[in-house]
Amino acid sequence: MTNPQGVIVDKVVPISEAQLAQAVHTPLSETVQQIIVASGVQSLQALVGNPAAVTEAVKAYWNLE
Amino acid sequence: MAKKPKDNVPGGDLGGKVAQSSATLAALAMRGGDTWQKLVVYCCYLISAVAILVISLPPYETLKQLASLFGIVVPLFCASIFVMARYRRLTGEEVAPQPAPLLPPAPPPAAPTSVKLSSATRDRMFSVLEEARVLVRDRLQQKKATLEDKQVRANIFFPDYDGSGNCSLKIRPGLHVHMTEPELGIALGPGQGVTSHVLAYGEPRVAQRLPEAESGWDTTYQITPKLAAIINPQLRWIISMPLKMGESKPVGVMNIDGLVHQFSVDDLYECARNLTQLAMVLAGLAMGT
Repeated sequence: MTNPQGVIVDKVVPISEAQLAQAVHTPLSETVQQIIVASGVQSLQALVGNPAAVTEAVKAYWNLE
Repeated sequence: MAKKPKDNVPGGDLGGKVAQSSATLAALAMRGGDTWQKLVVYCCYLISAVAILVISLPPYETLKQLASLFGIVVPLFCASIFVMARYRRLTGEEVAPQPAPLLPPAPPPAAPTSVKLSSATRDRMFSVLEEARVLVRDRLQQKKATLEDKQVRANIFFPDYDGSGNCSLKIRPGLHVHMTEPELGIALGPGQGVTSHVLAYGEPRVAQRLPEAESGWDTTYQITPKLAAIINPQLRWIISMPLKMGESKPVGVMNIDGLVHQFSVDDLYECARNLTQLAMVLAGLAMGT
């Protein structure tokens, strides 16, 4: 019998090396950058204005290393 | 430590010194013994003492003397068995449970605690969460212009531990946008829902509500009447991102979800990838390191 509410289905988001650029090059807004600086969180400071660090962090996030 | 006597079995010497010495040793050996063991030993010595008294009084008939001797030797022999056993335990000849080393007891393992956020951190996280929601909304509005702002929602789940160490995932107060009751009060147990999977495995996932299950999906959740009473009936899709830095274990989960309008899986995938840096920022703020 079909559930009138339907079903919820989910799957892992795939990502390739080519698609990684999409995640890396989505710029952080000025507001978010100010929040990072104001927070004083060391691990986040490296993400501001450091494309190489952002690339490495995004790769690690998606387990691409 | 008492030294083990080599010849403590009463023999033919019926003198009072022997009995007194044995009784003293027995009393010493039985210190700390079980109550019933002590009673047996003391009873044996009482019988022996009576027999000594009888044997020392006339008439000195053979039959009476032999019976008295029997009354001396047998109880002393029984008592010696208990005393020997006790000495063996005291001198370590018998394998006995080793006492615990005199070290302070190890502290119990630290119970996991819920993530604590200062009001300043929570405010910063709310701003980032709203940025994430707007990012997705703007992207999807390019696909469907009729998508309204209030139809794109956001929330952050954190593990919530009760006093007994049980864990459930709950939306953190103040870290949600366009969410309403009863969904705000939802509590997800281990393995329940997309959010639990994301927290457990640390992988971003997208979910859709479909009229019926289609092939190609990893996981399917039936909407039970209990869930249907909590989940907004207009919910159509969810983007679920782990809050983590690098390959670390997620500290929480950010969900961006949508009402009324359905979108393609590829559109949701694209939005998920665009949320990567914001998810990392939220994780860094939550961890504070």
